[in-house]
Amino acid sequence: MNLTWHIAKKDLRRFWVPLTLLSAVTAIRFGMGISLLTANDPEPEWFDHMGIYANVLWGIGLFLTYMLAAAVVQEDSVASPAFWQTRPISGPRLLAAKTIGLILMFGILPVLLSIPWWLGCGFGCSEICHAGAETLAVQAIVVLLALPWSVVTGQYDRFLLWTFVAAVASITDATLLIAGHGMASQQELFTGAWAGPTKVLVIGLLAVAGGLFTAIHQFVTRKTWRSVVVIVVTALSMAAAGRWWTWEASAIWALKPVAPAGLAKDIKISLDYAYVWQATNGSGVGEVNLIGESVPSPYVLSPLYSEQNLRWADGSLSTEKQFDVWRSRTPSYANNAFYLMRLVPQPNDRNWVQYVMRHNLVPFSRMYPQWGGKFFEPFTAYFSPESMRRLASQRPIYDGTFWFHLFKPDVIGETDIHVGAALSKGTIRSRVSAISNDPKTWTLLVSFVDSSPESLWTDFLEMSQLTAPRAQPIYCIVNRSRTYARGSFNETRYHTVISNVAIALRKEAFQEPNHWNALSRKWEKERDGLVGATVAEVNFEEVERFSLPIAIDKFDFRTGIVNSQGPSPKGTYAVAGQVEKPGDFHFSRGTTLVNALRAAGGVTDEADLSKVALTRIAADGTASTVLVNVEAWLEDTTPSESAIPVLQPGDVVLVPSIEAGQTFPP
Amino acid sequence: MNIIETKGLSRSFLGTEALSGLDLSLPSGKVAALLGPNGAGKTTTIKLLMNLLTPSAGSARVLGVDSRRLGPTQFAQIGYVSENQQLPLWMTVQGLLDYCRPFYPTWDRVLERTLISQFDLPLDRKLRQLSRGMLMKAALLSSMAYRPRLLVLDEPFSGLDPLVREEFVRGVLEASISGDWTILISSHDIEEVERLADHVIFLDRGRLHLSEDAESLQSRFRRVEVQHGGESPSPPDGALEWERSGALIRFVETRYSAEETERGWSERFPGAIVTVQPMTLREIFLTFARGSRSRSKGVAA
Repeated sequence: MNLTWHIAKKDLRRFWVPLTLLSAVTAIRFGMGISLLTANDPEPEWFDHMGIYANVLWGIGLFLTYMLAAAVVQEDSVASPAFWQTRPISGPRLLAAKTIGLILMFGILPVLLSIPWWLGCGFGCSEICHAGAETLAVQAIVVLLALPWSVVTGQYDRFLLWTFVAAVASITDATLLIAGHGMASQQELFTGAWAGPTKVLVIGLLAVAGGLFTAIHQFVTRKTWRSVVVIVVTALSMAAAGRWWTWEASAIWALKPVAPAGLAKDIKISLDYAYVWQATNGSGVGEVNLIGESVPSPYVLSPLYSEQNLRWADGSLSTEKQFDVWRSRTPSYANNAFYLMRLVPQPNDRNWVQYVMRHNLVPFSRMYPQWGGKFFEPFTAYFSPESMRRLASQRPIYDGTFWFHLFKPDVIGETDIHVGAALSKGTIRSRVSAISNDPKTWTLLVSFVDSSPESLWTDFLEMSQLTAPRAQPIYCIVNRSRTYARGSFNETRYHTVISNVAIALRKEAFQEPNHWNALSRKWEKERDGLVGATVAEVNFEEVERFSLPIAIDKFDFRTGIVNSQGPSPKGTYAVAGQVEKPGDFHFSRGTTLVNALRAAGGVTDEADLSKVALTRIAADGTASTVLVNVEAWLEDTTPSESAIPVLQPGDVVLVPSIEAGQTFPP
Repeated sequence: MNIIETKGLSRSFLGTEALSGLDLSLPSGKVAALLGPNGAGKTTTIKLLMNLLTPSAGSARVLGVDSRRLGPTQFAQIGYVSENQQLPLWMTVQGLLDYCRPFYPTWDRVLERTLISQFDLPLDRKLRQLSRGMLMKAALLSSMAYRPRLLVLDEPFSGLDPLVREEFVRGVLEASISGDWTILISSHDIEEVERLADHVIFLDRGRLHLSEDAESLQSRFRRVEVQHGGESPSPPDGALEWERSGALIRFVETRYSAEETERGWSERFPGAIVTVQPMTLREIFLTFARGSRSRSKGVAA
């Protein structure tokens, strides 16, 4: 042990200069944070810039860690006739010494450096432990990345070359994986049920095991070519897992059924519809929509896990298990609004629907066509090509179990939306540092100084809430897919003194860009729709989880072709006549006639909205046209949703002119 | 006991044999010179012995242990200095010694101090800043201070000026006299090790040509000049560098054993005047080296 420590001490002596540099980078970052914490009413722009610099410094720190970790390992080269190899030092002892050195330099040191900062942020003991664990995890990933390349290459230049080669190979690998995948997006590959969260886990475990095995093997045997074989085998198995590891294997996550108890007893969950679409690669994408009602205020219901079984006529079973691990803490993940939590005092409240439409930052297409005020929880299911082939001739029995969890939201800070506004509660020092305005969106740039301990491991983007100015607050989560980070985006905020998060708000979600003024009978230019809205940070605590069995005797099997982004049919619709921007527009499911007019930039002053013509061409080629009185709908104080038709691909919308007295058909 | 013993030791690199079938045994207490022209396989041999390379065939035992299983216990009794060795150049000389010391239970601080003053090493200088000779001396010092049972020096003299080489040799000699050390020095130049070696190993193109004590080698090698008027006799067995110019025949006798050999000559060269001179190790080495070169030319032709 003494000798092991003796070697580790030698490494510490060797690298004290770069370690000091690394510590200085960290210290500067925290210094910036302290200056922000103590600044009185800082300029938003300054706030913004500091955030970018802090993140750049964080990146530099990680890069230095990677390079330095390799240098520490190569200080006693494992691949060539190095000094230690003819000294009374065994490979395992050297490995132990290197491990101690790496832990001290890249684990303990950064944690120690951060502790004053954490204390300054008011963290308690458990928060510091959490933050420390998170720091160690990130550092471990970086060091583990450097490990295999540094042990198989004796010299630093070769390490750099291998790093480069590995980076290129990974990018190529990922590209091929994504390209070869039915669901042609990285998001689907790594987060969708198609992949199953276990895929990421399996790939990660393979990488860690391969990296560690390479290091141990190389230190003990010094057989470089065999270590290279280990690396290649690891890479291949990672690629194979990426390609072939499927949702079926996610069954290891399977949960036991839990009957609803307590608050959950009063929640009514019922089946709305279930269907399967044929996807382009022969597999099927299914959606089982559940209606959730009577969720007690202010609780939030969120999907957790589902097991969906198809029982075939011959008694065999196809099972789909899906763990919503990415949504496990807060509801909502990227792909659609349905995953958003519903905090629905009165689910049938039309105001709520309109509120969601105004505030929810989700495409309208995803909100179709439930104007009736119900809210849905779709569970996606993916069916293999074999299952789809069987579905052509058989109708299996569907038998599913769905797990939910109930969250209690805790507002820890909220503010009006204006530049300079700071969240008043909570330990986060955050403020709206800028609001940019372009024709389609408002973008709020919210700067945070560190994070609150309560929001550990949660993503700010999923916690940003927009609340309406009303007595009983209703929340709507800003969905990640509708937000983007400007400058930098960091989920592990314990490492980020400052994070800047840009939240893009679709204007149409707040207010019509061209507002129809019924008195003047004109479309008015936009008003500041952000007035009165509030941004809040909300933390969610899981209070309950429960499961429900759902049997479906009739699945709706649709034979449409699904595009790679989800079960939305491809196609366009056309808007012509008295609109600002006539043309063809991408169709998305649920688009209404009013949406179509908005998409075309609104109508002109000449538009006659009482006779908007909607032409649809049927499969047999015959065209039919209906005239829709949009004007009446707009002026109606209690409009009926069903008065506005939902479009289909290929539809043509024509807005006639008042002056010409033109109607369609003439 | 043999400190080094190899059986059929072979190593090839991508099909090229660097060493083939080396059978060698080196008894304890010897100072052995591992000689051979460049590319003879000297460094390969040493790397195999030090477990820096694994044999493609055959095996080697060092200090009674298979070379592939050499571990800390054995390396605590082995000193290895090579011109190709990676040294922690960022350390000072003192730092290097401080770093090495705890690994060796037999480290002798008195010997360390003696060697420091003998080698005239600047303790506070970093290895990076040292000249080649100084660096080799520092490496030697860090490999001698624990009185290893086996000291392996791979081309330690190349590029050293005569003065440094002298110091180096003196250091090794004094150490080896004072202790029961076995030393293996590789060199492509006999001159460097002539004074040290009491055992000579000659390698050429991966094969062992000779492994013999210097004493017996010198006793059986003689340079012979024969003044002989008669018809040209054929060279006797074991004669090298046979050369005739007029009445003068010159050759190197490799199986000289006083009376017996001289009796043979008088039968072969009746009435001739035979002059016999003993040879230095250097001359013997050169004879070998020339011999192997002409053989390789013969093969090429």
